[in-house]
Amino acid sequence: MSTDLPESAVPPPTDSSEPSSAPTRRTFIATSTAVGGVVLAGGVIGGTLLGPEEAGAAAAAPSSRVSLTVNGTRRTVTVDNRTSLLDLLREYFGLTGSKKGCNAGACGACTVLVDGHRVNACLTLAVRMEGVEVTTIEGLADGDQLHPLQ
Amino acid sequence: MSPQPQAAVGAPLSRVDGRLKVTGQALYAAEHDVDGAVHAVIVDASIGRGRITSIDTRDAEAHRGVLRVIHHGNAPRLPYRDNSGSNNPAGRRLRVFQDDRVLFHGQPVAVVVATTLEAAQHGASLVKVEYDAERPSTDLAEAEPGEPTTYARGDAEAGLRSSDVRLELTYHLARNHHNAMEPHATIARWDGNRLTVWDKTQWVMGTRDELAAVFGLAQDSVRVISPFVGGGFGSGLRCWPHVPIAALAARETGRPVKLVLSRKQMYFGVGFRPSYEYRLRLGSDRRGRLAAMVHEMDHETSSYETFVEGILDPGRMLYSMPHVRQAYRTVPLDVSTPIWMRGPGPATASYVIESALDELANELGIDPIELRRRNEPAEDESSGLPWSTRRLRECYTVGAREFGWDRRPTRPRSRREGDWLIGMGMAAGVYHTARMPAEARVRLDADGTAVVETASSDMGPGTYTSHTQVAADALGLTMRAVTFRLGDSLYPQTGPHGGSMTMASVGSAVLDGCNRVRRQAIELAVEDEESPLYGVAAEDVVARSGRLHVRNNPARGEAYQRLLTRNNRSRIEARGSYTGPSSPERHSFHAYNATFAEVAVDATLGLVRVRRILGVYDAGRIISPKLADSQAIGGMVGGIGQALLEHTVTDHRDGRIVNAGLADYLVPVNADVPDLRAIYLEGEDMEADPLGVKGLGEVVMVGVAPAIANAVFNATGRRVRDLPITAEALL
Amino acid sequence: MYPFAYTRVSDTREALNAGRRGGRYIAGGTTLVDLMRETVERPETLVDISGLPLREVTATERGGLRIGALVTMSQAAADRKVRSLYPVISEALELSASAQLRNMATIGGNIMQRTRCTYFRDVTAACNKREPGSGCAAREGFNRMHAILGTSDDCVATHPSDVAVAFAALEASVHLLGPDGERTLPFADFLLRPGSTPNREQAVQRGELITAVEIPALPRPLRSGYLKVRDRQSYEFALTSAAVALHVSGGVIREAKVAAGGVGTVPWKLPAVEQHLVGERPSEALWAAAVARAAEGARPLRHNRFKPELLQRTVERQLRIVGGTK
Repeated sequence: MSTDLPESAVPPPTDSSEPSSAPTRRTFIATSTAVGGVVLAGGVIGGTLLGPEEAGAAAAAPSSRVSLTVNGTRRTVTVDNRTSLLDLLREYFGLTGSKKGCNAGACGACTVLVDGHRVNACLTLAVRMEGVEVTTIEGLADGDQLHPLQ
Repeated sequence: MSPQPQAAVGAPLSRVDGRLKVTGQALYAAEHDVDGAVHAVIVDASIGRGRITSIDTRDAEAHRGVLRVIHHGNAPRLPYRDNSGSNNPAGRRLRVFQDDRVLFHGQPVAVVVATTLEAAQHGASLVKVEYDAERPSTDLAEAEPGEPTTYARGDAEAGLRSSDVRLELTYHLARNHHNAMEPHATIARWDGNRLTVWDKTQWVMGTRDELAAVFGLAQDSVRVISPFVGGGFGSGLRCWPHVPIAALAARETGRPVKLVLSRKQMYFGVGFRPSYEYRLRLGSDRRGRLAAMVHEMDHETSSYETFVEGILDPGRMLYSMPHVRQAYRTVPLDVSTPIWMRGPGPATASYVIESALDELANELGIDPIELRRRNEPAEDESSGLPWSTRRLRECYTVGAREFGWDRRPTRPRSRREGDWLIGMGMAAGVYHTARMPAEARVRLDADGTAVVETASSDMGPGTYTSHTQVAADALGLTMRAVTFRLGDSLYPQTGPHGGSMTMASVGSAVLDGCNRVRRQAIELAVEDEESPLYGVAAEDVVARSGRLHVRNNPARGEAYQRLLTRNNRSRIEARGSYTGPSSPERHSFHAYNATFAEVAVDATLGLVRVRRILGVYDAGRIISPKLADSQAIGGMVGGIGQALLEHTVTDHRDGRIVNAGLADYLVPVNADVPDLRAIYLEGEDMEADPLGVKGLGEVVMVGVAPAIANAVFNATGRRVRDLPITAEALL
Repeated sequence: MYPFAYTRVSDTREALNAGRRGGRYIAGGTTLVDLMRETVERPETLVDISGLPLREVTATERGGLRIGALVTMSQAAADRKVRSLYPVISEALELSASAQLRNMATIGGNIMQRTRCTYFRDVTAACNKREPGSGCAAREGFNRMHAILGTSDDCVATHPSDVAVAFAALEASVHLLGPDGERTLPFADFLLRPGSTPNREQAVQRGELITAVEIPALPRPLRSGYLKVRDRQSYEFALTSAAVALHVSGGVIREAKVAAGGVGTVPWKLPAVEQHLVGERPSEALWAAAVARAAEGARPLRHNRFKPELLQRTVERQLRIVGGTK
């Protein structure tokens, strides 16, 4: 049946785990990786690491390192403090199942479980998620068995 | 429909893409992983009209991560070739960053491109724009309307004069927004002079053509991809400014650009249902037999485009009367251009006409359903054409019975349960059956599976599922063996996914293509000496579960797989098409409903709570009952919103939309939505199209708001002629 | 959103140090992150206090309740002591926000939340609360949801919290901890009317931490509840609301606590209503008479002229619900 997306809609997968050659004071780069984790710096989108000369002259926005478990996989990242948990999931981890409907806590489309409780990921700052367990819609099913919510 | 056995069509199947969606695997526009994409955020004008006098981008550009800030001062000239197709209304479409004029509050005045979303968002807030501001004209009540579009039959003034009973009523409907859950988003990527966009759109072809026109490209240099749309309701029917902005940003930075509108930007970036003032005069005899109706309606449009919608249709054809006059005016305002929103025209007109009939029924002491029966037209009086099918009376009968209409309080404000005043109301709904040309390609592979491809779209009605059902039955395959693909401008072309046209149009093209493939396979078999079907008359062969066989002798036949393999055929392909309605039309085609609502109104606090709604639909064949129920429920919820909650508020001092967000623009929540039920009359309309469908997606919303408003009157004795009906109107 | 530094603290001493250096406390973050995204709030440093030991709901000696500042709205609403002693609090909480927000937001943060006025929330609009002296766009703008009581020429913004209305009715107190030690404020003094300084919303000094809200003991039996009137059934701020607590003994009302929400720049205690009730026997006529002065002093705006009437009816309805129909 037609669960596959048409080939045309899915560009080839990218390798998004390129580390930079040397950490600088201007770009905050995580200095450790975790199993199954993805190392990202503040200026990385979709795999292309941009050097300081490319992306504005001023100091980088403050970032923090945070380690959290998402759908059972532990991940350690360094992100701009302004990054919401929702954007961390969608833009950095490729988990697009949680949706950005309003980005203001008014619609619930971004709901995820944090340590078992429903929260709005859009109003949750990613850097506050140290040590937490996040479950998204992608992590609800038990293998082939859909969760009652699904 | 077809000699084929029907196994899938008509069965209450779940969505074929359901699993993909509930596991978060379906990719919407902003979610495609395009290598190297950077982020763009639009800067919105903070005045309602005037000129930009300066743009200071230094702080924005200094913010770490910001790559470029593009605006009218540094943007290249864009061709903006004429493109009156693509659902661009008459007028002059907005040209992004091509001059210093501000035409409405929120108009894009710059775009910030950055390597992170946070940097792009903050960069946008750092752009300092100065304006020469004028006071905008945004109030429908104050501005000068354009020239009317008119219709007349008989002599309405004479008809009114000679009527025993005359009503003169003025209704107001607030502006509404579509508020689809998915914000509009575009990812644009250039490969040389070829542009690919992953876009939220209801019409990949339309967006393709508009982008080609904006950038001066050949059509086949642009590709638009949109496999999933998170709700549209009409807001995706044209290519809005943010799409060329994303493409421009991509071209100027040499990077793929992802641009997602904020929820706030959805209130001025992608159209809306315009607010109306609608004046209705009617005349009838003492038995409620209508003699004349005069309709005068005004609605908003922008200063640069004249948006029109099908507001005249119901007034001309829904009821029988010799005299009708209509005058329809659009009022240019300093606002962005409206766009069709679910049931555009009838969703507004029905509120007025159905409320007015309820007022007449109350005035004359006649049951509202009986009043409508007395005015049932034998044919379409606006064109003289016979109805293809019209079963509105049956909708009344079935609905009245199932809803318990005989328990309706005959006197307004006569039933009370504690603090609650209880009332029932009903209304008729109608929506014309539009159809457009469409094409599809169908391929049956040697392994006995099939692929069907067509440009189309699925914004929620379930195009994937319903069209898989049609294809499965026409090819004689199981649902699992058919893959249906849509949402790519490289696929065979279709019209927009809107106007309730898709099933009739795209479905008929799919049916045609599948029929051709099946017939080719049958021909191959009956001429193949080694086939069990050799020598059988082609019309006696059917296909089922991947196997061709003699109609009443299933034992005599063979699987597609065997037939193709033995003949060294890897596939059988065909192109299907639907050429659209005949011209001139020989019938008048509409879908109808009768909607019944029961409400409880708090006697002292004025709050209106809907207790139950029933819709009975005459929509022709129902391809997919479970999906149809979802449509009906969605339409009813939309009607609850229209009747009681939804209202886009503009501050006329500067044209800003004051409640541009989901906390302040109210749509129904789960707790507002009680017992909703849908009943579909069985049958098909074979005049309308090969599938016998009349369109469902919008008729389900027409008639809901007046049914609720009429129920409110029955409960309270108060007639409110402004939507939404608020607590303060009933205090 | 403006860039900011982020730090976590694990005890109140650390928190106060960070606060003294200009850090801004963040607990649930549901108001703060939202307003930071709109660039209305621009803290340079966020001090995450969610690890502080302020998460207990405890009964006090004389039968009152002490709710730690970091107790979440959903925890407080579910707490057995809260539900049995002061259902007006649990009802107010459950009628607020959404389940997701209630799981995130704290009691301390809730009473600190800022107005929903859309002109306040939009930095391109004139707002004295945001920028003193810049004007008030709401006075002549769209003001259906705005206040009719406690307003000034400079500001008409409604305080949006529901549980604050319950706290005001019950005459709660707010426990604060600052560099100079602990202090306690009566709730009536905690939230400030705009006057000519609408930018000052709470009587909290820079760097002070809310540690708890304390509800005094009230004579028993006490019946209480919260009524929220709004356009849709859920997930909307109040048009009007009423928190009522009544102690009836011997068929006579001995104590009455009444406050209204959705109508004031701060939760609006109604002493005139309370005084009318005390010493009287519950009856339909009493409720009707008691609310006669509920909207006293109201200054309606163009789009909320219905609020004084709706306010009276709301209070009357809730008196009947709590006091019983006779």
